[in-house]
Amino acid sequence: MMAGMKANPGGQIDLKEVVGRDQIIEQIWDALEQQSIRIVAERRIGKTTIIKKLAAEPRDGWKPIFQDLEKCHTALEFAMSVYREVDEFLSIQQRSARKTKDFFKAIGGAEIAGIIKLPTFTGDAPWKEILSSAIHDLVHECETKSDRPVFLWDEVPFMLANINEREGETTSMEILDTLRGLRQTYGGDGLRMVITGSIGLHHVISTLKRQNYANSPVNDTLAIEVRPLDAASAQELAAKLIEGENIQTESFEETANEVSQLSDCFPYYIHHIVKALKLSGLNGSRDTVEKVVLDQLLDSSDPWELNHYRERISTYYGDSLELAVLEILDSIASRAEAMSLDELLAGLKSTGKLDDREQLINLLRLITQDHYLSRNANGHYHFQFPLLQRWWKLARGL
Amino acid sequence: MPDRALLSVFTPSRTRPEDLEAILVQRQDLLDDAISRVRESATTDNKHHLLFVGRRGTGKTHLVTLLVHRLGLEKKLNKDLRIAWLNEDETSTTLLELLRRIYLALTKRYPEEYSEESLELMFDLGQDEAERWLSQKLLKSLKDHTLLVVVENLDALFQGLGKAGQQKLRAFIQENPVLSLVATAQRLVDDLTKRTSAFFGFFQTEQLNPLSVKQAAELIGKISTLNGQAEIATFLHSATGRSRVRALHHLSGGNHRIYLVLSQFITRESIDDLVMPFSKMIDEMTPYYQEKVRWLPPQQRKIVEYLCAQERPTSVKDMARQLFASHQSISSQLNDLRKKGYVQAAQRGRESLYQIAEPLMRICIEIKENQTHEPLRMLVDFLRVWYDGRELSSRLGECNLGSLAYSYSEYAIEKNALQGNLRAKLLVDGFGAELSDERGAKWDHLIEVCAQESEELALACGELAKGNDDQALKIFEEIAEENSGYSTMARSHALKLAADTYYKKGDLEKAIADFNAIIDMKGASTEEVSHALYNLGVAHGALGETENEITDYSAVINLVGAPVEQVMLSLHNRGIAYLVLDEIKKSNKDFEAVIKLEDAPIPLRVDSYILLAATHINHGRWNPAITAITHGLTAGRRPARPYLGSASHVIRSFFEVTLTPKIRRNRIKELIQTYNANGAISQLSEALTSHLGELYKCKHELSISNDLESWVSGWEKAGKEIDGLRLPLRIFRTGVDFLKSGGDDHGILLNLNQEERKILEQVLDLDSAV
Repeated sequence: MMAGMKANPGGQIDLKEVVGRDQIIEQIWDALEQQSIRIVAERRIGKTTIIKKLAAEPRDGWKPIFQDLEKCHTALEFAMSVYREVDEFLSIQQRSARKTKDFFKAIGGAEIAGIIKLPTFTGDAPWKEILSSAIHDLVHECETKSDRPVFLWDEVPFMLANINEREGETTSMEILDTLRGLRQTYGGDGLRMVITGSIGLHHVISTLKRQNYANSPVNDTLAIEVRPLDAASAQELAAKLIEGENIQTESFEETANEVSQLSDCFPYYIHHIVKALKLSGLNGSRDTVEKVVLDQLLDSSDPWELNHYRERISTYYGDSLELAVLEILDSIASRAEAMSLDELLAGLKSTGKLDDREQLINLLRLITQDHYLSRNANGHYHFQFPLLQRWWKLARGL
Repeated sequence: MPDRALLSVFTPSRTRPEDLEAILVQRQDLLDDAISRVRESATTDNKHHLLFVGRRGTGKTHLVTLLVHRLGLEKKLNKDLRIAWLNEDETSTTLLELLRRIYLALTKRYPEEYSEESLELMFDLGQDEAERWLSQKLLKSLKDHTLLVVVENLDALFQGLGKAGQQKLRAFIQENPVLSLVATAQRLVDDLTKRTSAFFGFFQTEQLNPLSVKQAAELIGKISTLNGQAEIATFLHSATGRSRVRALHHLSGGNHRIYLVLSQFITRESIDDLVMPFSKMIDEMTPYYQEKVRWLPPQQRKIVEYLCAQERPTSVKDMARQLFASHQSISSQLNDLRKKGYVQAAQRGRESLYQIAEPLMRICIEIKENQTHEPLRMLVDFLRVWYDGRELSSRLGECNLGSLAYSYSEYAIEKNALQGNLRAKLLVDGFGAELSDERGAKWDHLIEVCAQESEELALACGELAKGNDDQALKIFEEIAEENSGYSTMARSHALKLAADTYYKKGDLEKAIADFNAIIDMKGASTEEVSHALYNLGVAHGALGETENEITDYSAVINLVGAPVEQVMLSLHNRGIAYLVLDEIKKSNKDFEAVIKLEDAPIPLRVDSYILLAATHINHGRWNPAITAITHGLTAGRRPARPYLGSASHVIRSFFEVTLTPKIRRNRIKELIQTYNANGAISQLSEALTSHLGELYKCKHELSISNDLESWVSGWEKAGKEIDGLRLPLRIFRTGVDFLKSGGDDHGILLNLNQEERKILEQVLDLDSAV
């Protein structure tokens, strides 16, 4: 068996120890052959770990550039950040971001000993030009075409939200459009982007759409969904952590299995459960794992941050639909079996929350997209994650 | 004697690490766990980020000081780890400032590798460039090391950084996975808990809890041992010691820092030694707390200031009244204050009581309000808790007039006189909070009474209330010992409670031993002795030792000055005991004596009349029996809540007497009339029904069934016109028929409907037989 490691919920995971993600990583590299991608996933599912693994162990012929973009609060910061990465990337190959440097000079800037001094801009900062030049340089100055650069951009929605706040929605929209344009222009030359983030990108775009943004700026990218681990990998991860934490148990396999099941195979929750088990001082068994999980679900400090699934509803779906969404989720949570659209509609009509079938269909699509629900073979709706359903019932007093 | 350890209350980092180790309580496992995670962060690519959350004074700095100390001792880690321990009093408003603090912390710890002068270049750059330059420099300097950043007051740091700064910091950490963070914070602020915050879900968070009573005792014990005062550590394990710590606990709220300060007094016993560190602690904390309160909305500020002045948790109702506000508005403000961490709630039954969350805040606000420079309330209360009245007076005598010690002792004595025994009150409050409503109602009064006598007694009662009988008995034993030093009253009370407990557990021998110990105790009051004698009699009776039982009751009856109630009860019980021995004359004499006593409680007189009637019936004296029954029932009907006793003895005696059927019938009629006239038919019917049970138990010894037949038919004829007897007689008839069948023919029971059948089955205890 692989050596154990300690539970580390929220922390940096040793990329050599990542479990159960080989398949999706292969899928991502395969997809990148054809186009850029956006990674879609629920929070805490391990997107960042996957991105970092892509960065640390690239497939032959790829050169990844990892950036956490939440640090950018303006479009110029974003553009400059990209430029610096490009410049560093090229300097390793003894090349230079020639076009961009020329541009800096042209606008009155200078670069001394690696430090760029830009003039103060009275009007709009020329971030588009900087960004475009930097990408141009990256694509055309790469020494060999066999080294294809791929931007691994994490926390893109945070960046867009920052820019919304500082510079307005127009700038956010322009960034999205510019990036799309760059993909179209340079995609054939090998430019690739992997866009990901903790808040669903579709929500950021929806917000922009409410500001009359008509484009679909990421529809050229392939959406790849990161799902929880498969059962075997979840169990493997749980076993690794149980061993790493030196938890005494009479049945190692049974304990690991229970952890993986109760966590719905979310790596984050697996880490959390094992850590909680360790700190409880209890021996590992089905019962103690169950106890620890229940304690976490009932803990008023919400250590698994499940409360956000309730809190975000009005933000995601608007105040006017909040009650309808709550009723949908309450109804489904209370039932052992999945519910059909008609059943849900009947319930909502009888309580006066919603009576428009089309509106309900759209709403359910969004709720499903946000990972509350999924559909079975009959098209009926149930909670995607049993853990979430369980918490929902407890928290809502159902 | 070893030198006193310098336990720096405010700056644990100035206390010798070895001493910090010696006094660590509650957190050993947590610390070990944290170190193992940092070790993994240093030696692998796993990087843990740990956060410890706790209010002021809960030992956060103690914990991180030990963490850094222990890591420093691991020489092997030096090749993998660099530690930047940031000064807790500084904060940063930008990532650049934070990086600079980190770098400077490294120059302090690793002067041969890092120098402050090398940062000079940075100051010629603009902010953004400087930030990039410094981050590159820092990362480069680390080479292959993991950087552990130890930062306190993370909540303040995040507030300083703001959202943008936090995002930059997080991005820096994510892009450069060589950092591990160990942080502390006073509360989980939005920057850590809101889903949209940069550091949401980033840390492994552990709450640092206040000390429990047991842990507090352990802490003080360890400090005492460290200072070479093992006798104090031993004292803390005694009932008195535990009681003291428990009372202290209420004052301190389990706050580590307050205990550290108090321990200096406990181990030195000079009031001056207490006042100085306490005052220093307050001086340092006051501006912080005043600032915390200053920015509250006015009504919330009023509530906080009001609660700071209260000695006890307060109800919403009282608060609303005192502050001339509505219940609703106070309730809503309290809710908000609770979320902000200013107040905490405790449940007392259905009521919520509120108090200031941080005891230190209470003291500091009190100081601000205290214009007359009176002695510090907490210190005075501490003295009231730590010493009893006698000890306080003795200390006063030893102090110089005008000294701090004198004024504090004097004030404590005054306050005790005005407000009563604080230790007792705290004990009662403490148990009140721990017991359920039902148990509290049952035990509160006893605990309170005991607390006035001795807190150890109260402690033991509290354990009894919680169901910890063995623990309680242990304490009772300690108190009751001859040379225990407790007063006679406390000792006899302890013996009595212990005996009662043993009796309830069925350990009659031990109960008897304790009752005897009270009786033999020198100085025990007549009341205590008579009570013990009476109970001894009851215990002997339960063991079937009737002769001894009679001796005990006789001792009470003959004891000069014995309380009248005890005498009456003893007469009554002795009468019953004489009945068992078939000494009828003596039995009757005792019952008559009870009846004659004007002060005898009604139930006792009624029972005595009924028992007397039963003995009359037994000896063929029917008319006196009816007279006695009539007198008894008449007496029993008088009070607002009538007591009519039980007719079981009468029925039993009646059944056992041999009579012709005709006489029997007449007498049944007379009996029914007597009971009916006195509104006591239900007593008769209950007795008839329960009599069936007695008959069933000895069914094999019963005389021929004709006897039973005449018995039941006599009752049926005489009682047929009486409403209250219809149902019981139906059950009685079926029961007798069943008995006549030898108890074999269960089909007979179907003569009754389901409910009636249930009653009969219960009486005959048939469920278990079926």
